[in-house]
Amino acid sequence: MLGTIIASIIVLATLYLIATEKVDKVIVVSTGALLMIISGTILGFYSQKQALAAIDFNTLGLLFGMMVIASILKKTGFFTYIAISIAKFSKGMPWLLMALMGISTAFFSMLVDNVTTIVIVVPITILICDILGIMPLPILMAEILLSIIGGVATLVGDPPNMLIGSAAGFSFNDFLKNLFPVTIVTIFYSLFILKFIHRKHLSEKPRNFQAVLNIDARRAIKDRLGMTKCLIALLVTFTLFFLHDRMRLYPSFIALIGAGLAFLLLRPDPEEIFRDVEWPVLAFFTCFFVIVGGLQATGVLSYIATKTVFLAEIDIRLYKVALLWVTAVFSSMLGAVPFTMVMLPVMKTLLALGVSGDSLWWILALGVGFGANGLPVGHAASILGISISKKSRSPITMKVWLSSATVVTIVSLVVVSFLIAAGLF
Amino acid sequence: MKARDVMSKDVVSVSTSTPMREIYNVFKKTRYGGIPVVDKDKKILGMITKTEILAVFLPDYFDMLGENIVFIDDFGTLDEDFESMPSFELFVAEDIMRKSAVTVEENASLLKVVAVMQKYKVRRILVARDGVLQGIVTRSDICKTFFENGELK
Repeated sequence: MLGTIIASIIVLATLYLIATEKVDKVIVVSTGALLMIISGTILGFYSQKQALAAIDFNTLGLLFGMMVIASILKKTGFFTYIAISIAKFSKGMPWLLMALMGISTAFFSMLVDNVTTIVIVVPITILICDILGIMPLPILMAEILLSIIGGVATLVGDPPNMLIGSAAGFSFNDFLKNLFPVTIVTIFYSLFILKFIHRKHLSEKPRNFQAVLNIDARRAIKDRLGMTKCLIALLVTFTLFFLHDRMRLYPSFIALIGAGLAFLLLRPDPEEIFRDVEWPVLAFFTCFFVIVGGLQATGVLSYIATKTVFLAEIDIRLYKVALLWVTAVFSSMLGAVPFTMVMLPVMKTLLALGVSGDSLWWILALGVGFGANGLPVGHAASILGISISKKSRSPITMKVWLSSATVVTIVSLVVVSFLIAAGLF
Repeated sequence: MKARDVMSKDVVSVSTSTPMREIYNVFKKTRYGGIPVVDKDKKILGMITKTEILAVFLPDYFDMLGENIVFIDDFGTLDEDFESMPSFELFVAEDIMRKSAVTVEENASLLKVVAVMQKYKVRRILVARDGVLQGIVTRSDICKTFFENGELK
């Protein structure tokens, strides 16, 4: 009992400190993990061996491999090339620019991590808008929102999906089959919602389109051969992802094969590439796995899950809708990743108890993914995108976020709720 | 030989509220490359060089673009805004200064002055006593000491 209380306090304090951002996340979770193991060992509810077993090396390997691939791809100038080509194609028309940049950001986010996409796409978008003489705000909103929404579509698009995929044993194709269609539809109507909300900015005429036409997009590519090789590595990686369930390969193994192939083909300076790997993120995941493992060992998560089952017995669809909204609210406040990690043991218990089937996992993925857009602190990508926007003429304020991103979030959750009611999930 | 032996003592300094145009005039008149920003007791608060002046003209997000700008020759509307520069007169020393001025104590050795200069890649170093500005040492001051005084004492 004492163990349960202490473990719960450690988890709640950790979540609180992560959400308030007063202390660096990695320091918070490493302290939390240490306290969990110490108290677990003293009180006997959690051993070092259990802590080590709680770390999901499949997720860590997948994260690491994809980070390396993204880091190599980032350096080739491929993203900048696409962004400038789109700007030229859109003839500087704000709405077309927003739609095309939004869609391509969503697409990139399906292949690589959202944060990587945002860190490249947002600054170049601000520059393009400044050259054109239009307001970057609606386009930045579209990019940030759609990178997070797009990430929901695939196994590797966003860390919560990697966690869910690994915990549930879903393949890359499972994600495509179940989440890709709903994500595509969400991307399209989100663009129209944003178009309506920002119609004033989007009706601006670009003052200087000729300057964008004058840019030679090909010069953005630093090394044509290198880029081709990198895209080949990416193609091989995703081909393996399409086949991995049939070949019985772990997703992490495929990501590492891809990273290794990119290394072999391009021979970059490993030190430079590894500097780009987000070690704090990997440390965060490792420590938080240990923390959640401790809470799980006390049995309190399964207990909570068991207590909610009676609701599912009353009406399973209502239960699923409630699950969607609860995960969305918590994910927007606590951040998508930590909340997903706490939910994994809960979901496993629910499935063991025979509450519905795999659809619960998809609802969790949609809830944390779409829900993360509810508040500006829900996702690392939005936090980063907003901080870059503050360096431009059109900073994304809380008010702007609530009046566009939150609206899109609520609409998307309502749509998913209807899909659940219609029995599609 | 110590920092105080090679420094120039009559340093031109500005206060936090000095407007940017006035700072430019100081650069022009004195041909100095860097001016310390001090409070009324001559306590060092920061430093302004031409690098800080130039930084005002660039949008803040440019540091996020990395190499993504070197292939663009025509910045369109951004160029027009840059050339009309409506707002730069509003800046005062406090807004643009580098808050971590590179400083040594007045009894620091000459070797240390050179080492610190190379380490922080600066061309001039402020000499202070308990944070109060005493003088400035430039690269030329050091070279002059070496080449014109013959050997070091």
